[in-house]
Amino acid sequence: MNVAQQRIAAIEVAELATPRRRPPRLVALVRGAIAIAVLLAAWEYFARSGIFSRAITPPLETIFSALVAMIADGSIFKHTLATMLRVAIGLLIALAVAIPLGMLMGRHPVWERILRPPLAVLMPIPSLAWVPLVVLWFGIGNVATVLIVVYASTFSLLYNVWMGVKTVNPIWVRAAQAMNAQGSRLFRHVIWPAALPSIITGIRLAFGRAWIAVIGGELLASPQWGLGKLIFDAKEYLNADTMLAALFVIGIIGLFFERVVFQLLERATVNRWGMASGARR
Amino acid sequence: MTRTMNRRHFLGCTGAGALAVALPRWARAQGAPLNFGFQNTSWGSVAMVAEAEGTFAKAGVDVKPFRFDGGKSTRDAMIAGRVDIGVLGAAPFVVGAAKGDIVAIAVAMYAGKTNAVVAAKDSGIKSVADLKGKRVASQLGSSTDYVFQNKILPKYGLTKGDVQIANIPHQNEIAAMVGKSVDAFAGVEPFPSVAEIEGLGTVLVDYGDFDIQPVFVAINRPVRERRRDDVVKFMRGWLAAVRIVNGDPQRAVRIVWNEFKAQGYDVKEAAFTRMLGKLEVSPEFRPALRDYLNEQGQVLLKQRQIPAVPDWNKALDESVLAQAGKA
Amino acid sequence: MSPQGGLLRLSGLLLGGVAFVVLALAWQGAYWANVFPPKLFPSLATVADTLVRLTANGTMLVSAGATLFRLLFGFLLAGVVGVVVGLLMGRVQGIEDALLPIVSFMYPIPGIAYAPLFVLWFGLGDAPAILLVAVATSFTVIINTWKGVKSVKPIWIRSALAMGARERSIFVKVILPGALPYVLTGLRLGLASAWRILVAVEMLMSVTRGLGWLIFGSQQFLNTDVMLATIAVIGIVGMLLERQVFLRLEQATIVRWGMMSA
Repeated sequence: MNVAQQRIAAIEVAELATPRRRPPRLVALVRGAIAIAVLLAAWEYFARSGIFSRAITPPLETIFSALVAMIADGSIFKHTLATMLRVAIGLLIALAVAIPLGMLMGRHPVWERILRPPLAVLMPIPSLAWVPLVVLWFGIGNVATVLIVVYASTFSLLYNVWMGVKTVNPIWVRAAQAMNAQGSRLFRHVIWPAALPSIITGIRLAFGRAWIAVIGGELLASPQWGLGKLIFDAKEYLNADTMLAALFVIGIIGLFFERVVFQLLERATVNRWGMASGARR
Repeated sequence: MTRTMNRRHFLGCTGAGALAVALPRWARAQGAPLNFGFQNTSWGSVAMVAEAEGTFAKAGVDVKPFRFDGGKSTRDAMIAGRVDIGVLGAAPFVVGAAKGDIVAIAVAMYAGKTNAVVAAKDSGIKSVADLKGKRVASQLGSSTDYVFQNKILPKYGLTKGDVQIANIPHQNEIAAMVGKSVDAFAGVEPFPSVAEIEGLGTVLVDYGDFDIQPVFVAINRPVRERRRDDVVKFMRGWLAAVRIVNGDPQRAVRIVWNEFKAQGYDVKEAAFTRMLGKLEVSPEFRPALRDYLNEQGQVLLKQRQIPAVPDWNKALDESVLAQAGKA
Repeated sequence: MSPQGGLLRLSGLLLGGVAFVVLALAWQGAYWANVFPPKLFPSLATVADTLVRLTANGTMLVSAGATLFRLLFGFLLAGVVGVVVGLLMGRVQGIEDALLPIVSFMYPIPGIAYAPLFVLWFGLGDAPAILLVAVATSFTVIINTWKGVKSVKPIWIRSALAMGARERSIFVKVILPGALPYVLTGLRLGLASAWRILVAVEMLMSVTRGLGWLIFGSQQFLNTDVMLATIAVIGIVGMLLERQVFLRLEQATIVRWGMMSA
């Protein structure tokens, strides 16, 4: 073998030895667990070292007992429920507004021309910039918070619906029309399924934005219950353990929605219909 | 090869990051100014006078003033190591002493009469008892809020559940009331006076009958250890300002009035004379103070806001005052 | 231009303006009908007037400058950390296994939920605000960079190997350009995300100057006209950031290299 061939052989052997393919799941799990353990240990060391006062960097057992206390007196459920309700209501309104409008924009260029400029102008404005104004108009509490959630989720959803409908492969549309499909049948059997991947992505993004909006809204609009409010009030008494427990709960919920809800949704619709190859992580 | 290189790089970055976070607390060694925080309300009056008259510089110490919306934010900044000395109401002080390393070195003032519960003009609320079921703006965690929830409400037969408290900073309480977000607020001067003078609200009751409302000059213990001399000089500067407030009240009023005018509050000087007259500025620790603080500590303990009542022998320090007074 | 072309353009402009006209009319209508008291709901003229006044006396520019300054540093920090970590995760299986659970957990947590905690740890002011923006944005960049590295087609790597390229060259000449569309997407999303978070953070962290602070501070005196003027500025700056910065970057790199159609 000449030098080049030797080199290639060496690389191939090396590549086999350090596989870039996915290793067996157990190894991945163990590595992940170790990383988490290291992180927690580092935190514990940091918390007990006294660099910051104990109150604001509490050790893990303090955080855990704060979480347990909140579960025991049920307050964490009330807060979580309040936050989730706001997200749900906000998202529902956003869906009701964005899907029809998005379809309209996607199918009829006239509407696209009309609605595109305000979309371009309003979308880059952070929803939270509106909070002080909305609070002045509608008072503190639920109405203001839900409105902010609606604002945050509508625009990203609208954009995705619009794009999804617009980029439906025209060949499919024409083929269906050639088979004499019109109006609502065309819509149900061709456009809706074709746009669905984009729409689901849109809902996913909108959920993320809604989540940010609801926490931020609660921080600024003083409702009575809510995870954001829980964090904000805990700060007043330096209850960092409560804050971290609440953050943990937020993380769990986010993870749950991302992994469970959305992946299920995708699998039940998009993947089953063969629109996206393979499950995503 | 790429692997090891990247790992080293990664570790190096984390190390630098950790240092950057820790630095602010340790970096300010001798020679750096003392960071002094106080609230942007009537309780900051002595500090405002000290700043305007330059009493700290005259006492030989470099003090950098910071304004906060209340004692709570000041205390948070102290815990984070960004501020060395602060003016704190009783509740923020107790929490800070219980959870951090904060020590009171003087009493700034007794401010009971500067707190008031104010109801919106057209709300039909005539007394505190009428607040049942209504929304009240109160800066949660402040001493104003503490006395409102734990002393005033019970006196009128109300419990905390009867009133919906909205956590709003003092500076935004009037706006919240005008915007109809809340029906009333528990506030601190100058805001109750501003609300009355502008015809936006009526004072239902002031705290004078309910609470002495001590306000403290507090310091981070490590700063007191490391920079004792500077702290004593600071105290001398503070005492000089106290003398002005008590001995030449019109001059003090003029300073505070100008301060708030510059922020956009359009109120007559006479209102500020009245307001400053409500402050009882005397720096010594009175004997009744321990019981007062103990009681507050017990309440907070029961509410599970603090893990234990602070040791007042450690948290109240008269030595600095004594040393400064000897000048 | 042909008469049809001209007519088309004109109609396009007219249609584009329809929405604004409708909104403006609705606004003024609400103003005259006194849906809210005038102090809380200023007329368009008042808002325009305030906008001009604040720009003229420099307040708007100073505030925008302060906010952009924080954005720049926060975003740079997030970008550097995010790309580095993402690349590591993509190339080294061990790191991916170790970090993915942590990153996936923290990714959906809204950055501003950390704000009160950061205030306790680092106090108020610029540095904690920048840090918070950086932390919150970095996860977006990490995830997108990681995906980008994973998306590099194995056949490209094998071709490079076959041509005798070594590890270092493969990384620089194949992986980096291959991942670039995703990296840029991540940075683009990160910038938009950072902008949104920054405005909220300024409200919560009592910075001394800034667009978010301008809105928050106007609450005290019910200066709704200032709030609306600032919101308009925020929208404009946000739009400019999106258009100018990223579009140009994309044109210069991945479009030119034929990886994405303009």
